[in-house]
Amino acid sequence: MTDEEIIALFLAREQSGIGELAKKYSFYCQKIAWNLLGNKEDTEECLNDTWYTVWSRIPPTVPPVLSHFCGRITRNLSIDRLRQKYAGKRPDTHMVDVLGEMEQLNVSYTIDDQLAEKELLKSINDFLGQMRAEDRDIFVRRYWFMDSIAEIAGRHQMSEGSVKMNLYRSRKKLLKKLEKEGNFL
Amino acid sequence: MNKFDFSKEFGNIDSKYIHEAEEKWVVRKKSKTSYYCRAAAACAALVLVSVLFFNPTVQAKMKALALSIGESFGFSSGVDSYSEILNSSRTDNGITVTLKEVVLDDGVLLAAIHEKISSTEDLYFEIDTAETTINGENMDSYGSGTYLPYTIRDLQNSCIEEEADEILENRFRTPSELGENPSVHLVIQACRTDELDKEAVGRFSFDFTVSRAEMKKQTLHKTLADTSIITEAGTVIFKEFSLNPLQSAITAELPERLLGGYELQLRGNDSKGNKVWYRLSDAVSEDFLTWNFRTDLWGAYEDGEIIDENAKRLAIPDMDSEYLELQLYVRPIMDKKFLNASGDSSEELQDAAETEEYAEEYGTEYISGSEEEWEAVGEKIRIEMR
Repeated sequence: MTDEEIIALFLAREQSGIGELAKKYSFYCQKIAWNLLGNKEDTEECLNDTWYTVWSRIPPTVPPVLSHFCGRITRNLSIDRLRQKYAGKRPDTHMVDVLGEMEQLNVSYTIDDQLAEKELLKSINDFLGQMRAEDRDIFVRRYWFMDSIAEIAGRHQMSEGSVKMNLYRSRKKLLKKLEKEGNFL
Repeated sequence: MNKFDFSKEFGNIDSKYIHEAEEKWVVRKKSKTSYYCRAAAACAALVLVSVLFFNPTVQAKMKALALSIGESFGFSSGVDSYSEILNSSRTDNGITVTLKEVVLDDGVLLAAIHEKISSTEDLYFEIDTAETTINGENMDSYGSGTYLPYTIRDLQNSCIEEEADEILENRFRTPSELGENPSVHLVIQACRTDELDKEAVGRFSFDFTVSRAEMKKQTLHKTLADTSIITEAGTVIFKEFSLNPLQSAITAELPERLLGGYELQLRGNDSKGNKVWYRLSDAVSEDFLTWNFRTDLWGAYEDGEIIDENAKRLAIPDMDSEYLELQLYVRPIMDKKFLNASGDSSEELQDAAETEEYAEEYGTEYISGSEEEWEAVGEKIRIEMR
């Protein structure tokens, strides 16, 4: 079934749309959730939450790319679930490493909330557009798909140390850009 | 004051970047000739080592060769022999780079440098692949790296000092023939960490030539026969061993079941009792079944481990050793097995369930990993270095 057909089912409030969505994007979303949660039960619950979140958002939303729309929802739900699960604890796991790396890029702002967030997102997109293709691929694989360092190293035929160094530099560049361009604290 | 949650906001990036990262990553290639064939043809590549040139006779010969070759490649002056280039310094824009060691060996160019920065600028150093040439030709580069004697956590705490040692790496597809006396035009550049356009703030050129025949004495390249380890996943067949002053590599054919699902290491000792530690590093064949195990360019340690200052050293076998005794260790990357299951087949589901049981038994630290989760598999192997 095409994305358009699945979306049409959602717009018509046909519950079979959920099954079709799960059938088509289970694997895609499962990878994202598993990369972060690393636990079958949590992953499955997160996927179920994803399908019902999509159900609640379409309509009115009509996503231009359904896979990315689902992936974003899975990502956010996984992050919330992981934070909830490990609140107050700091287990030394891959998942916490990824979140820890991303936390370094959190910035504080005082200007109008919505405007600030729009500007920040624009800065991030600009940053991605300016990156070398290889650096961008590594960055997006790590922080959007939450891939492990080992997976990225295999994908790029690089050592794990090189991947970590690459990510470290990219994070540092992005942080400086966010701080410089966004009038953030 | 509000806090921007990057982890959430990054989920909203432009779809084109997500789509791009969903595609299979293709390592840049220029020639249709298989990399494996070219790598094999370049097995007798050279290594540049300082000790060779302590002999003044050799130095005199090298100088003559250097001048001769320099002229033929258009370097009318400024081309040094290797012995002269080592420990020489170049300064640009208040930054000084001293070349401590250079290795050109079988498709990898390594440069150990000492850098001194007079300002407080946040800089990083790399080999300028667009400017660096061998025999006047640009290298067909496909990967680069920078290695510091710090853990990633040290770096996150920004403890890089104004003076530091680094090893810069550039991997490239070797030309079919380097000639007897290749000339190297090595360019290292310093860039500001926060400049996306990568405009260099300093460039440091080192021109030198070296006799291939003499240099070969300082590297070991050995084809391995009848060296294998039998594991439950299949047989690991070791093909080649190489050693140079900065790194050692062991090429091995791996069973498909071991690839992707596990991290792999070879650990053991050389005949002089030095500990050696190889990590699975990079694929050398296009079918992704033949890989290199490589030693770390600095001491071998896990990320996050606290390292004694004295332990931040090269972890390679002694060049004068007779043999290596190595044990294969594996550590599962659990998610692979789970993700490969479609969820429809009961057998696959069972695999996933077993994987989860393993995770429950050994904890969930299997990706960032703890030392205890490395498991020795198969018999030890012995690699004769002579």
